[in-house]
Amino acid sequence: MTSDSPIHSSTRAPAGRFATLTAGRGIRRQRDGASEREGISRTPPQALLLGLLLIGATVWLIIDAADGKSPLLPPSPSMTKWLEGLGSTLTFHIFLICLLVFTCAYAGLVYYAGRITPLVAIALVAIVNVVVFVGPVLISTDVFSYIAYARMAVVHGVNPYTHGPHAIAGDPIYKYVGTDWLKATSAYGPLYTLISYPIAPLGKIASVWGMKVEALLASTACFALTWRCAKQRGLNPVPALLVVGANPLWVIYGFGGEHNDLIMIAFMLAAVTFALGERDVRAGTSIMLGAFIKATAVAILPFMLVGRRRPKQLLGAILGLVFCVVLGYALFGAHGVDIVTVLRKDSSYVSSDGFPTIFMHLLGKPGVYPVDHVLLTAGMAVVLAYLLWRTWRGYDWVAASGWAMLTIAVTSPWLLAWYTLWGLPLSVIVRDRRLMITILIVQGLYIAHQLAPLFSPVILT
Amino acid sequence: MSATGERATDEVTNAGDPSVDAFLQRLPARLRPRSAEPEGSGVRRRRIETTVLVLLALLIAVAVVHDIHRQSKINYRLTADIESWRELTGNVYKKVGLAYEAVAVETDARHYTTKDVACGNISIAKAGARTQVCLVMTGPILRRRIDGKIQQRRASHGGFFVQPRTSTGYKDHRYGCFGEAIAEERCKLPTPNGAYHTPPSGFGA
Repeated sequence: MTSDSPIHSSTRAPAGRFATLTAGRGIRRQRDGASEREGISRTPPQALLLGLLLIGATVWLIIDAADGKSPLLPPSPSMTKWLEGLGSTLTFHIFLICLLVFTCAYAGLVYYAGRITPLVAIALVAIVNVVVFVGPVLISTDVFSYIAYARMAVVHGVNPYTHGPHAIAGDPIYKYVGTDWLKATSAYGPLYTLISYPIAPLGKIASVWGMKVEALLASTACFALTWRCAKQRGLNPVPALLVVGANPLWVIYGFGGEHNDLIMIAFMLAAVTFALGERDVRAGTSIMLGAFIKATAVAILPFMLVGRRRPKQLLGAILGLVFCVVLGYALFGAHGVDIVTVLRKDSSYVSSDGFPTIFMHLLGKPGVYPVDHVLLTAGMAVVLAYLLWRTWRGYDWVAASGWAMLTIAVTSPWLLAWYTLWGLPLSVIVRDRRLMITILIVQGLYIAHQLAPLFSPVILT
Repeated sequence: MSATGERATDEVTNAGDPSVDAFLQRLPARLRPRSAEPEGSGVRRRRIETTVLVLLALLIAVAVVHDIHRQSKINYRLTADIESWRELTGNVYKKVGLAYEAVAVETDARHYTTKDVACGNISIAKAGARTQVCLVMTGPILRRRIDGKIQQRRASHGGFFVQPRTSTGYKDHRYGCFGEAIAEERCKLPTPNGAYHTPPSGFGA
């Protein structure tokens, strides 16, 4: 699959070009045992400038967001008072301009990624993520649902898998839960709810900070594991880190909204690193633990089993499954371990940003109908079956897993920005560059779709 | 798998368990698993895959551009709805903070027409805190010169009221229908005693 790529066959690929992200000279050097920093002693000034631009856009966004009262922010306890007064209200136009600047700077950084030193890359990713960490919750109310479910279980003794947050209407966190989710039971795995337990008894502000710390730890784990996996596969880890850690949808939507997808991705990457290190039982277990954070993670298990054909991985998966089922059943009963119902419920939602919805609009239809759901599921099943067959016949199972994650996200009528992140870290640790390019194009189109308000009149002023 | 003498192109591709792979050797050659794809194989397949990916990306790109255009048109319409509501009711709630920017527009999500309903407080207060006056907006966007600027408006031929802190989306909550909203049977609730129900002064039924 990869051997015919000119990038892999050439040792003359210019360092720092897009082509060297996962291949080219940097990789050759590492294969020869040389340092990945050899020949890259200075980051080009253009890359530094792009990094500053990216940081600037993030700071502007966070300072304006901290001012509150923005339609882009979920109603939230006041937790960033020290930043108030520095900026003005985050309007759609300012947000989209920041997003656009961030994205353009990111695209430039991806282009120069192979010529950026590890220190600069790590510093850039750290700064951007810390800036978002100290700011308010961005875009989504999901984090308040997470806290509400934890408080239901810990504080109120209500099962979050049989009742929605409306069962704790008197709780201080209740008013921050998104109105669409007030009656929705938890769609997350029991392991995630359990991880949230220590946060539940905290006050409303402290619990949001707790979730922020949880997201920061998960995000940092993802970066570290991406780095490690890239090195395990003989790839340059610097571009891999930059592509993931400075990604606009990762930083602003995924990490900015404290989404638990980051924890799920961390378990997925742990599974990959265990598999690459021949620790098969742990690899299988990690996937199942990830699936009991968020069910989507289970999608990579068949690819690992078919690709690696190691009974120990199956054993690890069974051990993880048994552990999580026992745990989930003990804590929440049968509803707590019913992944099938969760997946079915999730697949019935429709978002205006989903590519199927956008495509239906192109066909002149108002949206996605039930028959379209069936067609999309069938299409997805065909692609997954093809990927499994390709994996059986020698295609890299990690790449196939990345394609599978992308397929699930793109064919889902309920597409949210952070769903496009599922396959991203996998894409930078494989040699098939098409995966990363495709994910970045999909993300670019998603961001482009967000820009519609830029072409619309401003109402308030 | 080395049964066919293939050379791995990647040191970490799908190396299976030797005992499992030995067992799977019983399968016909075309069905056997491989540890890696043979060097230089699958060029044609790769081209086909890449072509399909490019075509899909182009299709989605066209759909995205189309949708941005569609959304922009809707946003222009909604803006015209809000500005028309302000003009017809005489309530210009501007620069009073988002919580008080209490004009909301509901689109026709059932029949997907361009008939919108714009609702807002009868006097300045937090969103939905006062009686809501709702106007049904119809027709094309009309461009008019107002205060030296080209502004956009839509026509309204009817509307209704909703009591404070009540959803505007249910007929059972609506009262005091006027204009074409009466014929459209948008109200089920009899006008409550003492409730505000005077159609807006600028309303041109």
